[in-house]
Amino acid sequence: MNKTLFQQKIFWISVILFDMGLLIYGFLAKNWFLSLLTLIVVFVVKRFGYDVLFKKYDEEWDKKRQEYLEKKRGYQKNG
Amino acid sequence: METLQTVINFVLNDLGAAVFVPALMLIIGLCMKMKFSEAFSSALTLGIAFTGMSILINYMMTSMGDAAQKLAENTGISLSAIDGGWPGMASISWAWPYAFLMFPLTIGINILLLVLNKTKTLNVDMWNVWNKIFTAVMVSYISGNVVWGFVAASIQIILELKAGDLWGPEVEKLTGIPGVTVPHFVTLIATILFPIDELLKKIPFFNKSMDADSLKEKIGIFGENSVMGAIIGFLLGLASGYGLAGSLQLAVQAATALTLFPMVSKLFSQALSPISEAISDFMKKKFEGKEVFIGLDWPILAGRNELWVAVIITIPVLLVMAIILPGNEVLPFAGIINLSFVIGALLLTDANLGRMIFHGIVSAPLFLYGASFFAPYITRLANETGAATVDQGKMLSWSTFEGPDIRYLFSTAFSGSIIGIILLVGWLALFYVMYQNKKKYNSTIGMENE
Repeated sequence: MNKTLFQQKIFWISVILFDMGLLIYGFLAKNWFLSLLTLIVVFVVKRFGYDVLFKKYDEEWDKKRQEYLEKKRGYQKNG
Repeated sequence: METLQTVINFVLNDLGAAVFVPALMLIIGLCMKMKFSEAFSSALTLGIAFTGMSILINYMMTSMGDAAQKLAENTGISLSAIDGGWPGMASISWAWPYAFLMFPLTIGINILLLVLNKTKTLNVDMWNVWNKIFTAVMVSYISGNVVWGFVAASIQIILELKAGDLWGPEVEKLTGIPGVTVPHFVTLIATILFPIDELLKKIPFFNKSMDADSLKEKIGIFGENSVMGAIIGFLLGLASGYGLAGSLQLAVQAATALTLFPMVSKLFSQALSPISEAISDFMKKKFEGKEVFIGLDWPILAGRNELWVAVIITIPVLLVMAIILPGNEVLPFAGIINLSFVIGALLLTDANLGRMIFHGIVSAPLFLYGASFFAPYITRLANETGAATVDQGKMLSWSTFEGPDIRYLFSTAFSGSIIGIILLVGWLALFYVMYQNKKKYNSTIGMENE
């Protein structure tokens, strides 16, 4: 893994952890604005951090899932 | 005994899962000839994933638990046993004088079965040893013999390891993490749900794919994690009397949590995949491809949102049952988030939300009656150890008592009840049938290494 990609990963993982902290704080403080902010942050991670963090994983996962579904259909057909 | 206690306390309480398990995985990775930098990076990511998952699970248990408890309070009903939930049971279990002996027993049986090639599971989840202790205490109290308690706990350890072998391929299918499994006691409820599940599969509505991915394809935006989270959070808030603003806030929080869960779950996968591949390569070279599953705690499954949706939808059912079932002594409170059925149901049904909810409904009386049956013994343990204070005339229990079926059968069978012995043998036979059925399924869908 190159250095830039590693740094980007670390950044987005830190944002996720920060968001979790904010979620707990918003819950404990019963703060409506903070709760909404956590939802916005998680969408930001999904929109901008997804490729760095999860794209490769999701592509492999989709491939595996398709293979599995085909086999499962065959298994169900044959009882 | 004191040294053992000090070491175990240090590992469980001072280090915690977020430090101890990654450290253990770093050592395992290095033993499997991984490069230090790769093993360290995986272990560090695993530590982050553990921390993140713990925060999210605690959050869900607290926020949804608070709302559900409010719902229970609104019923205005009071029953004779107080629901201490699983944390209450864990803390009183550790106060049992023989508790720490369960560690060498758990590790010893695991090593023995691995050496004899009777299991593929290496269980590194030491945080659930309390479950074995709890079984041993209940059986000891009811049979009047500590030895039977340890015999029952030993059978439980073997069953958990066999369950680990059984669920490994399914865990990979659900999480994308190869080479890990969940040898947790809570999954054994699948044994009693298995015949029901087989019947449900014959019904057209229930035999269609109904996991989160399929729902996304079928119902579009309503199958998205954030939207599902928002809907169940909002409905639970309304039912609990939070008002419109409070319900909307709970909806936003649940939407955030259910969006974060899969992200943290993927971190688990990224951390564990390289270690798992290294173990697989090592086993291929040294032991002719023998398969090994690393046994971890159930939170590796918490990224599957079907689990949270099913558990929250079944909360009102559990409450209604607690009120209407004759002879029930426990009103769900601290244990109202029923993880005791949902993890086994998730694995058994292949994350089929419809069947999971059905299992949650039909199994609810089992948990409540289990909780009522064991309440006097839990109260006795709390009083004898002084680990919890129970008011005079009241009892302590756990509304979603884990493994009520097998623990009841252990207790009655080891007390000499002929019916108990017959039913225990029947239960073990059912486990065997489920094991064979799942084994065939795993090999057919190619999720099991030959």
